[in-house]
Amino acid sequence: MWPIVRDAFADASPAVRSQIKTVVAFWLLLIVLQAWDSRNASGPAGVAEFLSAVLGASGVALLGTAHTLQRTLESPSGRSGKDELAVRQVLIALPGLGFAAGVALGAAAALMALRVLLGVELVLAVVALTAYGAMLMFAGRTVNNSARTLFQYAAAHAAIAADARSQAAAAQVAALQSRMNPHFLFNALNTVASVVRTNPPAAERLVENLSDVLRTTLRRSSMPMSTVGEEIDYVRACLALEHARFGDRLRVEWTVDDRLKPVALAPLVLQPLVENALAHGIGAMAGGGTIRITVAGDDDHMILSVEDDGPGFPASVVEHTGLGNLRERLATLYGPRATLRLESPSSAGARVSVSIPRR
Amino acid sequence: MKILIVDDETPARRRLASLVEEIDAEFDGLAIEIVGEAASGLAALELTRDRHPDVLLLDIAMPEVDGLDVVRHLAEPRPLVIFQTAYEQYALEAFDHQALDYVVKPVHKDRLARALVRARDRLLTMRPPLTGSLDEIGAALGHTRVRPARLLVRDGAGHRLLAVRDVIRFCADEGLVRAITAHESPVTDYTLTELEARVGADFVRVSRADLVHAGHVSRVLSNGDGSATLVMSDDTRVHVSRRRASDVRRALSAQG
Repeated sequence: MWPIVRDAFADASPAVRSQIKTVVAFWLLLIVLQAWDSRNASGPAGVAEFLSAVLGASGVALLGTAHTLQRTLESPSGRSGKDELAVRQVLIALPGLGFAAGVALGAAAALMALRVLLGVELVLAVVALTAYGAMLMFAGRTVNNSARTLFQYAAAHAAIAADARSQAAAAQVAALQSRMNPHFLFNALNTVASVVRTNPPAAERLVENLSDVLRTTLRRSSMPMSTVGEEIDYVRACLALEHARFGDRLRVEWTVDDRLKPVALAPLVLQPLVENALAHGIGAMAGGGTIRITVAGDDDHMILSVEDDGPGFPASVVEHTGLGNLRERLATLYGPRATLRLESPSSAGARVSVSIPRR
Repeated sequence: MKILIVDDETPARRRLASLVEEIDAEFDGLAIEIVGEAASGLAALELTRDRHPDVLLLDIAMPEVDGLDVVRHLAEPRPLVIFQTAYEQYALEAFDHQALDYVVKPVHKDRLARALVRARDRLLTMRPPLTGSLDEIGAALGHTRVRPARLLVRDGAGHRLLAVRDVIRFCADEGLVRAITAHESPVTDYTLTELEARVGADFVRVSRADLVHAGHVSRVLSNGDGSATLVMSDDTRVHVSRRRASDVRRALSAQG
């Protein structure tokens, strides 16, 4: 317990530290005075008086320490200045200190009671006994309060931890779902089933592509970061599957600054843009269309943009798609410096671009 | 039993055709004839009119004219419809009582055979009328409708496609809904309410009879009684009812 008290003392504010110093000085003074007073005492009454005084003073000192520690927890500045581990240690130490103080004070009171029975300096003994009794009750309350604080702290922490876990799980599921879009998966499988009769080698390549997509999806769901190059490879594998479905109706043009490929990028940034272009652009055009994917940037920002020549879309539609989800994730991951912009000239085509700070 | 296969994906059409032929060879009494393959919703409507199939094997997710649009525009006597869907949203017991059936992609041969046998039985007895809303059916089949670039309008006895961006307004007149452009005003089979849901936020409902393209509104004139008049890009004037005037102003200013 001593290291905890020492650390808490080191962490405490100057005011609290001086309080503790005062208490300890008072304690030492009391012992010296008592020793001086009982130097001539003899017999059981004298021994009881001396021991009672030492124990009582120790109890008071322990109680004072516990009380000041508790105050360091309660004051907001004290608590925020500490790391979680120190707070936890103090919380665990408090009931122990209170209990030790209670034992010391109880023993002191018992010795005083012995002196009352012996009938020596009766008035003084009764007054001391009453004082010890009162402090014993105070020690009991300290134990009680600190135990309750400890319990509440533990309960609150369990709730916070459970909350964080469920949030993390929800985010993971959302990320997984947007990749494992069931429409995408079943359409891909349908294409494989269709091609396997007419063109087995092509079907083989499709299964390889689909495996790549699924493998990357599963790996990414447990990895917070990826790179621009990986995201591009992933989108290429997805597009290969879509190519088999749409044939000549889907035309893709890439413009990629190769220097950006090693740059770190959260997964699922480029893919929703392409998926959106497929669904609302090409998916709306019987004659098909062209998707232009651009990855460019300077020292400060990286810009990923996807352009289609579909019918364009009103902004209100967008928030219901994966783009709304992406906007939220960008805000969480990169803060206000990341932006998602939609440009949809009413004539034709839509361009969605994401700008991400490069730190 | 005459079958028309409708899917915008070539490999999928080819596979369905060979599955149907295998099923025909294995089951006695189906007497299946594939009367055609359509790669789009519009082609499906044209081929249905020309070749009178008994059953449509109809992909639900197609660009511009999706499977629901096709069913909406089928003329009587309408063929039975078996939807193909990549992903169903709910269990669909309701379909047992409908003029519709569905199979999920990739299509299982057994399931397709069952659907075709059931269609044959229905054709022998009676054709149940189409009940229930198409939008609900689409939702049940996990179909998200995409705002189309072009819409079906009537063209003689059949249909053709009209670019939505050319439409200045849709207007209901004596039971017919017309799509008015700078040059023509063909009739569409959709109701104004259906169109409102289908063409999206570019259009604003300004009265019971008019749905206008916000991009084609040149000026808004206030009338003394709280109603308003819109001057359109073709210089025609459209009355905005008093009840909708403030909503319309808000929608038009949101469009910028």
